Amino acid sequence: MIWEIVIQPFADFGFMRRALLGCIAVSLGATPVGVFLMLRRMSLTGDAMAHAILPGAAVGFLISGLSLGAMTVGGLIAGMAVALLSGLVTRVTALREDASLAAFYLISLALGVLIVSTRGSNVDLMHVLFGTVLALNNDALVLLCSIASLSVLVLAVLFRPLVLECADPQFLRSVSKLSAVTHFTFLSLVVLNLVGGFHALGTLMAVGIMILPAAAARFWAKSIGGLILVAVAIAFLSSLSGLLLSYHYSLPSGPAIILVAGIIYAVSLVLGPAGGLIAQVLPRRPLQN
Amino acid sequence: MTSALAFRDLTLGYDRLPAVQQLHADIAEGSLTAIFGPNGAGKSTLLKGVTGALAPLQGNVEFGALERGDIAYLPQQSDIDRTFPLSVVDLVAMGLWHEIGPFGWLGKKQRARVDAALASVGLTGLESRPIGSLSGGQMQRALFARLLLQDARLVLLDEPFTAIDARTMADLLDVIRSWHTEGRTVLAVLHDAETVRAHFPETLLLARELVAHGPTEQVLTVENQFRARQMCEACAGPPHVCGRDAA
Amino acid sequence: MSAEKTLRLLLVGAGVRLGAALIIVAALWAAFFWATSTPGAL
Repeated sequence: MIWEIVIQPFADFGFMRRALLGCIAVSLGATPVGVFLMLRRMSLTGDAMAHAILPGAAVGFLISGLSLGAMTVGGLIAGMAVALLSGLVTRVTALREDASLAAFYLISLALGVLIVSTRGSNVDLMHVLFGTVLALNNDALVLLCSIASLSVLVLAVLFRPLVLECADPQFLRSVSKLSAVTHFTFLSLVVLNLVGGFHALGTLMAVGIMILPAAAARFWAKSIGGLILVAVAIAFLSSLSGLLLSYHYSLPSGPAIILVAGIIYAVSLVLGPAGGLIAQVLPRRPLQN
Repeated sequence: MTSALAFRDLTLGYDRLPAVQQLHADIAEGSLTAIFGPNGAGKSTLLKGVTGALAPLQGNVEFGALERGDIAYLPQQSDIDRTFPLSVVDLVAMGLWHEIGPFGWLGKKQRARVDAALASVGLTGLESRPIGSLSGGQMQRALFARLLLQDARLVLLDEPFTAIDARTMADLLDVIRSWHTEGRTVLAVLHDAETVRAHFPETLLLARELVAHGPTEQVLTVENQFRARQMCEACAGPPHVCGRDAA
Repeated sequence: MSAEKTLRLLLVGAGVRLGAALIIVAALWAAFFWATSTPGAL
């Protein structure tokens, strides 16, 4: 029974195995990045960057059709441009950051959809918006696994400055010159993972796998290591169940994965021991050291 | 007597509006100095100028034998994210940054020094507490433990006793005194004249410009404090009318 | 609580973290070769 529901689809079909690997790679890279994004209260920035990648990838599509390389490069350029501009726009204009980001990503979304539509069909548009996790070829998988590997390694090395940059930037700046390097490297990782996630889950869903597991983990873990561990576990679980749901009930897989992550978030919000609703209502146990 | 710090016609400010004007003073090596003055006198600004967070509009700060790495700075409302999932040990151990750097390993010896620092601020036993669960006083103790580990020759403190209970304040004053006996230079912005008189041998009275600098009992006179308040009130208007004539 | 204590990632050296990361990366690429080389109907 369990075999048939959970294992069989992956044992029988190569495309399911590829989809699972793609999702695991995205979870492994994007989720830890998402944890830091959340801790820096930059979730909205991540959202804006995800949308900004769309017109870039669309221009790549315009130039050479559904080509992995062109769309990746287009997305990277657009994402990096936004990463650099987002700070500047707030500094120069009087608009509050959230307002300028919201305006910005609406424009990006409209522009991206328009560009794809001028040249491609509705199928192409769906491909760009929602990804093609069930049709990942070897090249796409190599790209996703490389991005995940790079993210994990960079995060491992830059962990300490990155934590300080989030928790106490003033102190980091007073003891080290790494602050700017750390900040920029981190933003690059965000863009890189969004572009990778875009191939698997589409522009609109990629940011979901980055942010939802991190937000849910907040209700379970109290240390940074614990947060990352729980978040990645949630992302794995969402990927697996989302893919199975989409297989058994023929649902679109990207949205299915994000929806599972969303449900886990909602459950965590209620049941989570670290600040969940029930934990807040119940009388506290005496504090232990 | 060599000076650890020398302000040379230092003018500091934000957006070209000066908050500290033409300050000329020497801070002796190993001295324990309070920076005192009315609100808006530029006390915090002066510390930012020393750390290099604020570039001088005019003049400069000379460091003598000190280098940037010899300075430890505790900002007023330190912008530590208290909700960040960091434990007390994590926070305090980062005071060892100059030794362990961004990549180094926290060995047994360093771990022992972290424990010693925690003990000397009275936080033993709270190592694994998340920083979000600390009271204001406990948080300040933790930050002092981090300063202890930074082992700096010049310590800058910005209003270290605001919103802190009396016992914590007494304990932290002990820490400051021990720095003084170890020959470190301590520069602390304070707003309570009693504390300054009781514990700080030197005072620099500031009201955007230097009012007086020297032994506390000579500086903190009623006359000087009155003059400082007047100068600051005169300065409350547009900065260009501010200055010696206005006072 | 004890699980939280052992996860003091901030205080271990970058070498340890890098080692752990390398193991994860190796596992990922092992999965890659498993997913792309084992036969299965498309």
